[in-house]
Amino acid sequence: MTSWKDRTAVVSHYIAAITCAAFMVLAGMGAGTAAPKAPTEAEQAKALAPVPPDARQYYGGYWYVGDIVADPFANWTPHSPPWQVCHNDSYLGNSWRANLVTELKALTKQLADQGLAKPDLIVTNSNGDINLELTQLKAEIAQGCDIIMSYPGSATGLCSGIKEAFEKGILFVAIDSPVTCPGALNVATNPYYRGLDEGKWIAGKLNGKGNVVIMNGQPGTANTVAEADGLREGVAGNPGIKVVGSLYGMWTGSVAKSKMLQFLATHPQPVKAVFSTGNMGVGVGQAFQQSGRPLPIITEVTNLCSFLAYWKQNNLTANTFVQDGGPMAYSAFVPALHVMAGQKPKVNTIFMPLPTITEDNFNDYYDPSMTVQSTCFANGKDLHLVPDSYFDQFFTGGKPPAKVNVVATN
Amino acid sequence: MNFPLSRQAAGLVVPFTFAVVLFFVISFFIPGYANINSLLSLLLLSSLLGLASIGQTLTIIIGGFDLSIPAVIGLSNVLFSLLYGAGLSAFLTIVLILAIALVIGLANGFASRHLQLNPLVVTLASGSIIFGAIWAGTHGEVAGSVPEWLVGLVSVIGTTGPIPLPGSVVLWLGIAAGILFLEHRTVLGRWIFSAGANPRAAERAGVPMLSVWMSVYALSALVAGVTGILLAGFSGAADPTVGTSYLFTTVAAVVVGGTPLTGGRGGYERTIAGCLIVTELSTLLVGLGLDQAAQQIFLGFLIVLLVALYGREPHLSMRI
Repeated sequence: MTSWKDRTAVVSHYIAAITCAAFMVLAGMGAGTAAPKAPTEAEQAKALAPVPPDARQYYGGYWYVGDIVADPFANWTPHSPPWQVCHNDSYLGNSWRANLVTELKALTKQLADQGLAKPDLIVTNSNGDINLELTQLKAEIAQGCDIIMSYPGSATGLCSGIKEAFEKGILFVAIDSPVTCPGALNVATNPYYRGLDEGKWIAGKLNGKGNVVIMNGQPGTANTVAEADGLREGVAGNPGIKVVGSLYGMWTGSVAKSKMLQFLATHPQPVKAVFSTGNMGVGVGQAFQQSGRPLPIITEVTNLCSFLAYWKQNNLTANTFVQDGGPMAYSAFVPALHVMAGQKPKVNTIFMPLPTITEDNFNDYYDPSMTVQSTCFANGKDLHLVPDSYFDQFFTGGKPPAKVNVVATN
Repeated sequence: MNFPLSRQAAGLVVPFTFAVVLFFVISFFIPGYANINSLLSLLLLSSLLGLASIGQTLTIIIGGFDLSIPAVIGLSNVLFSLLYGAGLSAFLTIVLILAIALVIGLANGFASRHLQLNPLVVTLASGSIIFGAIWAGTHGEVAGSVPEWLVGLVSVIGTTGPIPLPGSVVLWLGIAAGILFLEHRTVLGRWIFSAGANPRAAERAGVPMLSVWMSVYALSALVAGVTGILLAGFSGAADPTVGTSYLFTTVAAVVVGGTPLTGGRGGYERTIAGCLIVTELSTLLVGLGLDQAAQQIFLGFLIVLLVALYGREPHLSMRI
């Protein structure tokens, strides 16, 4: 017969275990963020009507990460120069974000040299705390910022600040992370399009037959869901291609390698291609090599020098998008200058395509000094992700925008 | 203090039996799994988790917790790549990293015991300070390099001289043997269990509590440092966040192995089984093709099931 002490201890043990399990279940529920409900074809056609025809191909699956609002700045007038340019960031802990800020500082200086802006960029960083980021945004509004560039930590968390900025004639530009708040201009790449494009490329390389694995980033994020669904759509027309695995490498090489080792240990069938969604291509390849498997086709979405070095070392069949933080910041700054020149954007969300590195242009980006430990981005000689003229089609009226030049931040 | 031997033995036999049975279950459900490469993958991943879990096990036994393990792993990982890449010899780099880890661990132990601060708060804070220092020092941009021998040490197809096992597995087994010796054959080992079983009684019996706490936290930081260095070889590059996943998995390995979170009981031998089980469960769920959400949910329920099966030993103070 057990004493009350024993029973108390057993109960406390159960409570600890159940708490632990409940935490995991909740985490699992969070991880299982499902794809958003797709609008009907009629709704999509209506939403995309104001998008310039030549750019519509980049808007597939737009509803995963944002919305399309026509003529968002119709009754809005920008402040006159010289402008105070500010940057509101949610995180500055990696080289992509560091390059983004360096680029914005350089562009602000260029505007200052033309007498169009104050020379110093005001920068805030909330380190992942969306409430702090909102507070910092409101402080920037109070400080007299005229243009607020931002990498927001949430699609909705800054809405009250963005509304306040809009009402005060302050331009808020979300860089590569669209918000769904009225009054913001979003300039971004489309993760669904990235997946779709890579899926089509893989299908072509595999001649319509073979097993594919997706190495996702973090579960539960809109980008992750959009990229994976885009890839599935990209290979959908090929019944011989099967997506046999969908793993989560957390954008961390060692985690991706562990997951891929486990996957390969439990899946003896051949894997012909892996879609890696950022910073995980090297770990994926190493897992194949250490499992004694032939290296698959590997596609990446970030142009890290380490991946190009690994690609060269192993003569991979691969490709990757080019998207460093510096050039991305420039790509968002150019449309901002259109708006500050009094031009009206046709839509609130500008999606742009990205250059791709393939076997054909590999040497334009690769440098022999790159190693698998390199943390730089292989941006090549032309730092423009798209020509400046790409943005012209999204604007009407106003004066010609101020000119700035993209600078190297690597 | 009179423990039925059968209960102690069961506490060890059950998780190890479960680990072996689980391997065969995976082999049954997943054709082609039962081969040498799969086994080596399992041992390699378990060795990394096993090393990271040493500190968590010992700190839990003394009644504490170490939330700074991921940060120390990240710091060690980054420092190794940076310093070795800058031309420092691997030996000196390792010595320097372990010295820094030692200081961190001693500080954690000192603050937790001498200043009577909650170890959860102390290690959470020190982890935060370490992460902040990494970001401030590197701005997220960590270059450097790692030697080829380190890559080979954590390669599934690597061997250790005539032993057909990756170096990290052999290292894990060696360190594990040392930890088991420490736990069961040394005075410090007895003090560790006494300190966790009943701190007040241990203190009155002359156990140097501050020294015990500082030693355990120092050991925790040292093995976390070793894990960070091995992970630099595993991924071939530095990443400050490389240890993040080890916060949850080390606790899971300790709990699943059967060491109670209430302290004073259990031991690293159980955590070894816990590491194998956690890695096997994760492999099984990946192998069955479950998505991340389903994996999390299943793993949660399996932990409850395992703890209910053999993790129900009451705290020592409840049984005297």
